[in-house]
Amino acid sequence: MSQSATMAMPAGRTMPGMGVYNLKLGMWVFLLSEVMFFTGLIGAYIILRFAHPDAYTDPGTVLNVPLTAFNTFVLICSSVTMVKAFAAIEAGDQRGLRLWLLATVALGAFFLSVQGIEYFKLASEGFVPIASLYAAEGAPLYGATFYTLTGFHGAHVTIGVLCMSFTSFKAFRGAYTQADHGGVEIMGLYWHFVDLVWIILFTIVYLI
Amino acid sequence: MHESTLRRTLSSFGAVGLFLGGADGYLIGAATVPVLVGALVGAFIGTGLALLGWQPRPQDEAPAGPAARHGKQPNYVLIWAILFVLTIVEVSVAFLALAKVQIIIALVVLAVWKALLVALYYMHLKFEPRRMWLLAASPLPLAMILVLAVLTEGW
Repeated sequence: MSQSATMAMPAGRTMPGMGVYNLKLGMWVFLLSEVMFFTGLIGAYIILRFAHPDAYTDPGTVLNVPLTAFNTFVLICSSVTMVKAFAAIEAGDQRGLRLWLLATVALGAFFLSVQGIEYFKLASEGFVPIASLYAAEGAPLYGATFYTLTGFHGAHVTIGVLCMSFTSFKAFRGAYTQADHGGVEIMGLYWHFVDLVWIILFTIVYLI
Repeated sequence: MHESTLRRTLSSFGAVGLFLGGADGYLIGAATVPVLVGALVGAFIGTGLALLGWQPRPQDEAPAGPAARHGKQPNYVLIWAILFVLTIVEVSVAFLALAKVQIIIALVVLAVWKALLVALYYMHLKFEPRRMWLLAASPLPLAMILVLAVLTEGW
């Protein structure tokens, strides 16, 4: 990969432009577009919820808040393991990088499993995004907005886990070094962003 | 075209675009004061950011990346602990016997707090050059306009 060329930034000197290497700038610009993507979804949720307050129930009535609070905790933990992987390679610790990356992949997959179980249980209680099959409290709109918001986030986590597996694979092949580990850093940026989005979604979907 | 002229032209386009975005938010939400104020503030901030970001100016002198952290790592575990505590506080607040509006305001403040911690420390925004801050903040006025517009839709 041409990463070594774009990463070549001697310590203490900044590159022209934004002052960061190109991979990182690219990831940030992508994440900023993601901010607007999720803002659109959240905007739609707000407008629908204000227009149809009766379609929604009080927090904890339909959705399992303790389970999801636990899952939120899992995702926050995965952010710590990710940042620990970055700290490890920044200190030149290859073993630490591999172990923390694997831990992050595992926690991400665990988050998705819990979300899968949550979906399965909710669906069996009639909380589905399909109007004709909806049998839970509230109205089908509740199910539709819930699965749209959490589903898009879940898709982001899935993509994150897949990319992180690739990053781990490369880490085991020794692709990252103390001087050149941009791949780990931008993977981390994406992963923390997904965590950040979940912090917002957990609040507005489950708690409000 | 001279480079600085090109930059000024692009800045103007950015400013006009952001102002139209603000006006759009105003139209969506009907003639309500919060939307108007939000749109104007958003357009103003957005314009300022566009201008600041595009004006040719000397390189940021402050070091970035590991140098900004003096080679040390921030206390990630401490941040994790704060996030953990805030999550518990959030879940508790959601079930308090308070007015719905009070709960919502408290929850939003807590969520923003947590989001800022993740962005500043885990995404290392705190240690990036100032231009990266401007870049990272650039969608926020737009997001604010959209949310304010839809919030006031039913009023």
